[in-house]
Amino acid sequence: MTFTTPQFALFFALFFWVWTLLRNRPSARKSFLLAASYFFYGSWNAKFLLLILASTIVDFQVGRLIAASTEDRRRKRLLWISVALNLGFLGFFKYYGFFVDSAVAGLNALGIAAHAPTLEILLPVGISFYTFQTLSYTIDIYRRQLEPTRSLFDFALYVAYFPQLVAGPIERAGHLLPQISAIGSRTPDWSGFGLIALGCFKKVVIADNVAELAELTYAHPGQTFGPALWVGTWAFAVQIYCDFSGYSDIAVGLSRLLGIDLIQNFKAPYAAKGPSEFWQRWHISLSTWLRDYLYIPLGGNRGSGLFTSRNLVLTMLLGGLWHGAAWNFVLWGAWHGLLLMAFRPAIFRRLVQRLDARALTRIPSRIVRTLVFFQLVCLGWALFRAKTLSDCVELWRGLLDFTAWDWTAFTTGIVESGAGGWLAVCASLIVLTITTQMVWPVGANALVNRLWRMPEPVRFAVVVLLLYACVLAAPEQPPPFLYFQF
Amino acid sequence: MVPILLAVWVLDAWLSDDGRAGWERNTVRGSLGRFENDTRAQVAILGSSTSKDWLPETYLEQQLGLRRGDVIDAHINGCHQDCTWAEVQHLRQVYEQKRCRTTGKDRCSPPKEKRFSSVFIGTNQFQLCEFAHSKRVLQHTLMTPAVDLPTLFGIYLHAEQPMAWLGRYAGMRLSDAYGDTQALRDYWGGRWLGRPRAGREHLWYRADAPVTEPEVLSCAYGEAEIALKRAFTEDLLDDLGELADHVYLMLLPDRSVALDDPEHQRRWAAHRALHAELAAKRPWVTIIDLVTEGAADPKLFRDGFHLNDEGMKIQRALFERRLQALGLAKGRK
Repeated sequence: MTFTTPQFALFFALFFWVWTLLRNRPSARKSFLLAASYFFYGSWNAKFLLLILASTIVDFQVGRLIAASTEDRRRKRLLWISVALNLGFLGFFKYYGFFVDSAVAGLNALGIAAHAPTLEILLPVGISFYTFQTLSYTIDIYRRQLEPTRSLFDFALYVAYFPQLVAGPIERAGHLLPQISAIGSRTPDWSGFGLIALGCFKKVVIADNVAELAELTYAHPGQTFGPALWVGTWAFAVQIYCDFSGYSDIAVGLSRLLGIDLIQNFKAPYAAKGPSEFWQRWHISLSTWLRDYLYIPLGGNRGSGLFTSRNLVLTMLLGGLWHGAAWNFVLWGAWHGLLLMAFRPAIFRRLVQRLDARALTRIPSRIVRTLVFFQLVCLGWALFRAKTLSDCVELWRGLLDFTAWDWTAFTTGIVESGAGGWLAVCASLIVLTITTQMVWPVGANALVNRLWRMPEPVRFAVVVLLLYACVLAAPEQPPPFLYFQF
Repeated sequence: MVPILLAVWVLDAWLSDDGRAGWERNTVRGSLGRFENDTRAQVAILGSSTSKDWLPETYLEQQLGLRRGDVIDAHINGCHQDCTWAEVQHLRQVYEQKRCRTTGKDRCSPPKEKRFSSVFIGTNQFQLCEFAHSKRVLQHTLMTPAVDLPTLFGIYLHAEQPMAWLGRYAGMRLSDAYGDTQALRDYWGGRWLGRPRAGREHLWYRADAPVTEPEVLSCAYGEAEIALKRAFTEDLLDDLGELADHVYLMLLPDRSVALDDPEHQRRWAAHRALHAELAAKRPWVTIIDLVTEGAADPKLFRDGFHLNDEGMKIQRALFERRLQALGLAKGRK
């Protein structure tokens, strides 16, 4: 039951109706919200509810015990129980096959005959998201940055809260739990409708339609013309942004209707002029999680340049692996780690400061840096989108070996194929998405807040037209959100 | 707000009413129109295009020894058992209304004779095991009389995802264009942007055409996959029993029957077993198996499930043998 399907619309309409009826009954509201959240999650696979329940009960109890204990060793042992359980679930369901297959391939390469035990393991949807959320809860208590909640009910809602359960944003307990505790008195923020409409538009009208471009050009990268590969890569850059940020916008919008404020997960990421800025704008809830619970504990930038570089690359490698159990995600993480390293030298920063200081060079320099960095991000997306390691090699060869490009075949092919009109529409969607971010580098929240300051008929018209565009532009079988697989 | 909603509604109605853009809708209207204008046909062909494309009315009339016009084509493109169920509810309602108008009384007595002497309906192995395709729900929305909606929603509850079916039904009711989304996109996209040239679409991204295998649709025939199919088919056969004296349920081949794959063969066995079980409980239903000894070569299909000319010849020859075995073949009149 994904957000952009009619069944979710029906589910949410029924849910919201009952929710409104329970206005002055906080405990009934909580029970109802929890039941709806479990129903929502169970609609994928009810068996995996047991995982969420196990994680909820253990982390709730461990959190209380850590807070009650004054002995450091005991606190650490308890924390390890929580970490082992959560990462154990994640490791088994998400990474078992990857590690076993990689080990077998490694042994075979060394000439040692090995066979992998075959286990057909289904990946529980959203496991990467809620695992990080529950981990942050126990770690924050361990660090004495958070008081544990006394209510198992509130904690269960924190873990299973349906608008952000399957694909984030990854919330922190310090932000979400107090809102859940006071859920009975929270009033709806109707601007949520604006975010829902915008999110649906991004996903259904833009992401699902440019997806075909990426699909065609990435199916057999070895046979695809180089310029077409770039077109497909830009299409994928737009697809993944609109797909994932569209989901986040809908999650934030639904929450606003329930009176809950979720953190903003995207803030015009393609407006970034460098990797640090990119990660402050892309999947913000994950990048801040990795910063707070991995990069800083590893030592952060409190050491030599080499030490910082090691921490950056290690954090990004694990960030890549978080996305999926495959080597192309590890490569994608490594690429971003390398970019972070490459943009760190002081000489580079001084040059940028000098260009920014002069009125004449400021704007051209920013435009060029943004466009160049966007291409670097796209090279990363090529790795992310590839199906195999050999595809990664083929893709980069196709994208970067300019000498092998057949411009004549590409340009005459557009005319000969009769696909020029369709390509022009997709190109317009791509250019629109990227230039909007460059010209106006704010997140969807700011955009919708501004819309909500306009007269009521205007905002109503915008919401209705965005949603109607979704009805007209929807593919017959809408592809699921890309981040559901993570 | 009212003018905005009104404008959206007008746009929606205009888009979906276009005779070329709304072909999914029009194929339903065309079929119902043929039935509503007909007064004398004794035999009906129901089901989808795979039921009908090899079985023209004139051919069936010849085989059954009937006169021209005795067989009516009431098939609908892409019409699975659920769609035929909705169509049958509609046909029953139309028949009832026509009959009552003829008698001129305020209240009609129950019909003494059934509308048809026999009905031929084909079913494929894959039918109704797919996700809540918008076309399926469009057909329900267009044909199910209001009085039968509780039954329809009750049947939806057998689906793996009842909310998907109910949600699509609600969406379809809110927007006429929604059900024809794909057709609208194909039509307006082609009109405004120009159609990619057949066989040359790939030229902008690669020199040689990518190899594509014909589509193979299939159904796993686990309990969960066929619960909805079973519910619709049972109700359909019961209701057809009220509309016709006899129902001939034809099991039709598709490309997967010709594939040398044990899993596919298991599915075919389950498909046959399900329909044999349903027919055994209903004396008015006879199965005509056109799979065993039927078209069993992938080359006999022009896509995943439609026969080509050669395949149709084989299918007709087998159909004639089956009619003879049932004592139905009367020859040309």
